Amino acid sequence: MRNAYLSIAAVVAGTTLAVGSAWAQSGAVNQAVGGYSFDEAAKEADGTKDFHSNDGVLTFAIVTHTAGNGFFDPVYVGAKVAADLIGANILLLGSESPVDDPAREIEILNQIIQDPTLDGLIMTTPQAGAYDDIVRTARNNGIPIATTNSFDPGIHDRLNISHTGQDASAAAIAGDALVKCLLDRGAESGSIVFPNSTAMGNIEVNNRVSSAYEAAVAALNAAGKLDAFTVDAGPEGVGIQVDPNDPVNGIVSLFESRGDVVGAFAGNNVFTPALAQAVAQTGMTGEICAYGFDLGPAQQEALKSGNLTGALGQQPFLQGFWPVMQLWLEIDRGISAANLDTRAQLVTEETVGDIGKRYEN
Amino acid sequence: MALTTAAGTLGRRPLQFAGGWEVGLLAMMALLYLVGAFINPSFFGSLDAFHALLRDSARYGVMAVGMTFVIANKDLDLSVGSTLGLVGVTFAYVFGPNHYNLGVVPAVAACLALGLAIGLVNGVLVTILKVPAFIATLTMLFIGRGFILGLTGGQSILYPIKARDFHWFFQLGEINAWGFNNQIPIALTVVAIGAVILAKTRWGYETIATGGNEQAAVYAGIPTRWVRVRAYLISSLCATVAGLMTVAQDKGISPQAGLTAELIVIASVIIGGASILGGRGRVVGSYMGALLVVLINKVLLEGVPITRTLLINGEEVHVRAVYTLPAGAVPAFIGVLLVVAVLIEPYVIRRRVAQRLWAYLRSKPPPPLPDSGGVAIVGAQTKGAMATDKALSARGFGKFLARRDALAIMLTVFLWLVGLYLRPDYWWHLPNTFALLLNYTELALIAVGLTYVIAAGDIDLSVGAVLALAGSVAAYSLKVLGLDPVSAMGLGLAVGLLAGAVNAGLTVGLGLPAFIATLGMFYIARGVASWIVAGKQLTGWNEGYNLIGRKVGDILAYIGLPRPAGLFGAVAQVVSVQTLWMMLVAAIAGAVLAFMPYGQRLYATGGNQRAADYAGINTRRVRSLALVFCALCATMAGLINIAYFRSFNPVAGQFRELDGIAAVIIGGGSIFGGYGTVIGALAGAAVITLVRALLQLNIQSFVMPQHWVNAFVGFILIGAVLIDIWVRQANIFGTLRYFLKREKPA
Repeated sequence: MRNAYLSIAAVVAGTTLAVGSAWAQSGAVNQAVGGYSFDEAAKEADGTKDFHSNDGVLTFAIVTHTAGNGFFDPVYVGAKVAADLIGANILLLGSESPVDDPAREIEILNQIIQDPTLDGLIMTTPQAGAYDDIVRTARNNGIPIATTNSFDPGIHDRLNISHTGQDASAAAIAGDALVKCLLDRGAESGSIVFPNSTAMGNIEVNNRVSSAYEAAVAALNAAGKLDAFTVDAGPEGVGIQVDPNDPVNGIVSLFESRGDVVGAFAGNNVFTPALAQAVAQTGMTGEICAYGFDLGPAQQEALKSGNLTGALGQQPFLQGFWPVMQLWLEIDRGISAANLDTRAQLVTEETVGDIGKRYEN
Repeated sequence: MALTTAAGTLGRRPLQFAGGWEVGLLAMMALLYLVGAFINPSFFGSLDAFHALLRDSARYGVMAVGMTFVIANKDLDLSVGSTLGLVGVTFAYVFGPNHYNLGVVPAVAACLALGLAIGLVNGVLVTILKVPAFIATLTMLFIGRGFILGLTGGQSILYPIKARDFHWFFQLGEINAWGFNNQIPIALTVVAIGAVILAKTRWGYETIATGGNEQAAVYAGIPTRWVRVRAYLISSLCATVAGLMTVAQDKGISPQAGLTAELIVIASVIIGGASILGGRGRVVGSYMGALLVVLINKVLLEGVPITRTLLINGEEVHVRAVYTLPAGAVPAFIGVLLVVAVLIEPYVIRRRVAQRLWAYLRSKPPPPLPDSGGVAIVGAQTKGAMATDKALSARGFGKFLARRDALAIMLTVFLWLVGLYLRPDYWWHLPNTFALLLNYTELALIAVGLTYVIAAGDIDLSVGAVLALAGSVAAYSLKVLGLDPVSAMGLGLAVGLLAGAVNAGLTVGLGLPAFIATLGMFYIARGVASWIVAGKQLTGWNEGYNLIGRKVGDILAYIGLPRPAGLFGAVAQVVSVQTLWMMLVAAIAGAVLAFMPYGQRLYATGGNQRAADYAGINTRRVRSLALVFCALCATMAGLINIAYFRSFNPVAGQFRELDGIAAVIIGGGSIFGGYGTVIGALAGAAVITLVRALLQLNIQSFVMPQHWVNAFVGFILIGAVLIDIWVRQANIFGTLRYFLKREKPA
């Protein structure tokens, strides 16, 4: 009986404590996030809506080095979704070129940072060292910056600029997967190639190819099969040169020239659909372990048709979504710059149905 | 009728389709094939390599057939690559399951209609509206590329699964039951038809006659205008067929499809023995030119087996690999071949070098040298006479309007005012003005140099590539060789000037058309620039060098001087050294062109070289200096580029040649030579910069879709040229007023 009383007392005490803490929490939580819009916040604290532009509207711009090859479309979608969530305006800008064009991106940046209605800037940084003046001018103009996608470790004021993107080393996942695919299929020898256009000058893509290459070599070495395979990523380890203006025929020619290709990896949105098409055209669907990058509509189609064995998503939606949120947090809450590694999501024929439903890839 | 060819006069029937030139091409291909077989016997020793060669050259070969008709007509078609891409996009729109989702037949019909429409527009622009072929088709290239990007949104559009239901069409791009790709017989059929038409039919004779001497052809009763329109229709139709072959093979289209294909096709036709000056061309030769270009590509991308050593987790690992030439080798070799191929005809074949050598070896008297003449044919130009007359008689604002560069200047002011109207809150502010000027500087510097070359009646397609070459050499000197900034700059300058000297030597010294010489340099310089840096970015050198790409305030801070007060201080904070340098170069170049004897000599040379020669002007020197100055401007832009970006990127200066030429033409420069002002070129560059600036302007939180920039530039380019030709030169409104007055009795 005594035990029963004790149990009841314990339950009552616990319930009382829990209710008390819930009350305490709900007050704070409600005040912190429960519909706590800029307008509501401004009622409590003058100056909440005094952003840099001082026009009562939060305006961000996202500028990329190529709006012309589709990769950045989900990035723009992510940025738009985030901006809509917080009631901000977002300007979607980028070089119109279908190939990487950092010079044109910098032209856009030069102009946009002079816009007094701009409250925050998100930019990609594919050309090392080229963005320092932009950062300085933006800082002088009171515009906070976040970088996304390509990473420039030496950019001015790096420690105070958040970066959202994938570490190029994540491409190692594809190198590992490629070797696993070969071993699972019982491949005993052959060539593994890494087509790329190093002349496109995107340091991030080159680093990805290097990471995938080194991972493939390490995995083959660990399996004791390295001597049986030719693993070629070009003279500098950043890819075998293929014409970016005609990538499909370039990769087909590479396959034909090598004659014994059993595996291939492509490091971006230009060469991955081309790799899939080359596999299809050479009639080697299912015979080559073909891995690529990004999960655009072309990659998804290629995964479904079996021309691509796997593709690494770098969560482009998040690369647009998070920098907007990050800038908002910096401006509104004074939260310091935090980096977000979007890592890699390996998608195969079996899992491709689970992605891309809402254009997040 | 005896038709002259690269190999002399036409002989019996087989030689009417292919002659000694083609035999030479065949020998060169055989040699290259042997090199390939030596490097990679397993591939080149099999039929696979031959099959791959025929397949990969099929589309270029088909486009080369159409281009041969255009070039034999003394015209040019720069729009074939964008036509190919646009055809692919149209097919994807009509056929693609995510768009109109119709069948193959309506998709092909739409593509054919589009191709013919583009050909018709090109033909009408060139013949009826009298727009120079280079400009008309350059416009179509811009507009076509703009539409490709605008319609695709930059995305590849693939439809492999739906394509399975239309195997009868898509097998045209695949391997057939006999083991070869269907594109090969398609190409061979097109080549055969084209060869017969050009060599054996009335259409062919009319084409060669029109290209050889249009005036004589008119007197002979040939409808030359229709002949030229017809050639453009054939060219566009061939590009359409190539586009359909692309979609049949790829089961989709990418926004890059056909990018720079026009240059490969033109190079193929020229290597194939056609003359860029018209009146000569053979379809079989053009096809073989395409084969040769593709074969070079294949052989140079071959490699030899090697073992590389990698450090993985601290352990040395030996990896079997293949040694290949670094990025850039292929374009560099194609450029050299292009120039050599064009030089062989006047300097080896016409001068009977082989026969003379053979006679010399047998100690016999050499055969007599024929009257070699020269390769370049300079025609008298009388363009713009009426506008000049008006300029002399006009007064006040009319005098300004009579200037050929007036339109660009007014357009610049108008576009700036549009910016001011849209964003009055900051558009006119000092920092924004200098930010726009900074964006404008590189293009303006290149346009200043191009003004000289275009006014001299030449063209320079290599400026973007020379920019990259100079930047690459300076960056390599700084980063890898560890040279000091001045030495690196000197080395970059020397290499850039060397490129200019080679352009001048080939154009003026050896008599090659500037279009071909600088197209060769475009490939060589771009290739070598990539080659030097192994196709990678270079960064991280002495900040002292980078000062030439900084703002004046940054330099003052770097050397420890205090920021000046007042307006000078405010300007110093926003003005870049490169902008000031560009202004200085433009001021000197403008003064030389407008007020110095050299400027007048340049206009005289460009207006009519023969007359200038008779007037005692050293036209060779004048043209050479113009080409070297143009390369100097591109070199300066390259040296500044790497300082501004604090790094070198192999894509530096890409497509700048097209922007630069468009700037000069929008600025009133005559593609025929004899006219062009630095103010006009600067205004033309400003128009392009302002169009871009307006398209990326934040207007109440809305910006224009960026993909359409090229289409806008294209429309402005053609608008400027049409207004120049019809409103200023032909005075169409004056004529209209005259007729209206005449009809009303006083």
